[in-house]
Amino acid sequence: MFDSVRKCLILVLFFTLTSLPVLAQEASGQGRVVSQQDWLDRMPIIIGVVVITILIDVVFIVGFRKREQK
Amino acid sequence: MNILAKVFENFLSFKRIPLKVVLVTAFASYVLQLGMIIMGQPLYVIVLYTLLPWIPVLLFEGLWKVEHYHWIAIFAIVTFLQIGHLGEHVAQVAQLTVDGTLACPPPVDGGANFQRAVDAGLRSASDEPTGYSASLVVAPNGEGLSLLNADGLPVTGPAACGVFGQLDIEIVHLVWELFGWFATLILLRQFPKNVWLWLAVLFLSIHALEHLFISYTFFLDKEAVFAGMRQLWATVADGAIVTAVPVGREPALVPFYDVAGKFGIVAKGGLLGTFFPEINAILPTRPWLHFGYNALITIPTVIGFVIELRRIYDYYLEKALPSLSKEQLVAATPQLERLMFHKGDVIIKQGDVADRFFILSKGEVEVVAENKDGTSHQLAVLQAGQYFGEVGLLNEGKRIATVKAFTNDVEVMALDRDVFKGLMENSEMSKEDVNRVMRQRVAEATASN
Repeated sequence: MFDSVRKCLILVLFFTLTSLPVLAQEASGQGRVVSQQDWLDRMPIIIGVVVITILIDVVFIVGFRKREQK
Repeated sequence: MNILAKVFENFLSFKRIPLKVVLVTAFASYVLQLGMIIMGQPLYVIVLYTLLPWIPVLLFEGLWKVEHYHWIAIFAIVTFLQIGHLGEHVAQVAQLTVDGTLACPPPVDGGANFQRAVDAGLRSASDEPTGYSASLVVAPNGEGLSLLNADGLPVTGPAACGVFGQLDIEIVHLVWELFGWFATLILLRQFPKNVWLWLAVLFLSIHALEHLFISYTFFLDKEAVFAGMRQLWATVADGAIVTAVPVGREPALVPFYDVAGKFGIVAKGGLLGTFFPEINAILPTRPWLHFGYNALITIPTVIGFVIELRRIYDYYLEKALPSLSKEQLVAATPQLERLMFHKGDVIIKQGDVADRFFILSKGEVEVVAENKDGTSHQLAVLQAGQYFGEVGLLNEGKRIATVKAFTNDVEVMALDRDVFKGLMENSEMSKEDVNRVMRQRVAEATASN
């Protein structure tokens, strides 16, 4: 269980980091006004951040549950 | 409630730091504070100098408490820091509510701000920039120029960035938030049944994801393609008090952070506000939202800490008498008296009436038997975590050996006879353990004579 969580965390970090250059390329045009699309473009980051936050909580909580069982 | 008050008093009182050092520190803090006020320094300098003398005192006292109370002391440190952090947010929203202007971090009197003031004829070119952060800010109007009141005077108030506004930057927010989050998760591992800590972790997690996203937009999403306006400031100085004066706005290409990212997910102008414009007007602005997050984090943290404080006991008491129940350890801990000795000091003297039980928490002591012919010889050297003085108490008699400090800075925790005997009467296992050690020591002392 613990190893699976760690692998998931590494995968999410990997996909999040590799998506950064893609987002940077998508942004174009001079002096644009922020639109809903700009937020949608950043959704992978927001979802990644939510997943990372949940995973970090889970890693700690699973960790102490295991310790309690010992 | 009385027990909690006693535990609080016991935990909060200075144990390691002598009273005279505390008094000298308080005096130094007061003198520095007064000096800074007389010198006309801004609020953050006054507060900084007031706090400075306390840092080493609190550090050494904190280390002592971590040594004796382990995780509860760490819980106390995290709680103390979270309260301080909330204090900054309270100061900020109070400044905003009264007459503050959100210009964070406050413009600094140096470089471009100084030059703009010279160009605008607000100060002489022969002045020297002070390098101080602005304490006062003239509120800008829609054009980025000074906002004037009904009398035609500029509307001036504090820079609404808390006391230490220089720290109102994304990297500080991120590092602090992650520290609080991880520290509380680690505390949760130690206190898994504390529901208030679970609540604090929930809000810390929500707050963390806000800051992780905001920090992403600030540090990594840097391409400037959005239409923004940059507020220009000029700084004037009256002694050490710097005022930031708005001198216009200029159009600028800015990154996503500047136009929307810094508001994050929930604050006005952020993700929710963009997708649901009808609720954007009622969403809290970022300072109020983050004040709310921190209140929701700090309040359960404080309650959780107070609950754990009721279960506090001294680690050295547990180490010396491991068979005592948790309840007995908790009840006996406030009765411990800390005593310090230098090398060679006599802690108990052979032949004296036994009145106390001692647990060694720092350094080494030497147990010496004094012979009838006036000579003496060493029976044992005891280390931190061991105890002595039990023989005379359990036998209702006199001390059978002398105990001296064998190293410098020997620290012992002493329990009165009645408290010790009460513990022994209520814990058969501890009584058996102590009796076993006592028989062995009596036998050694007898054999040596």
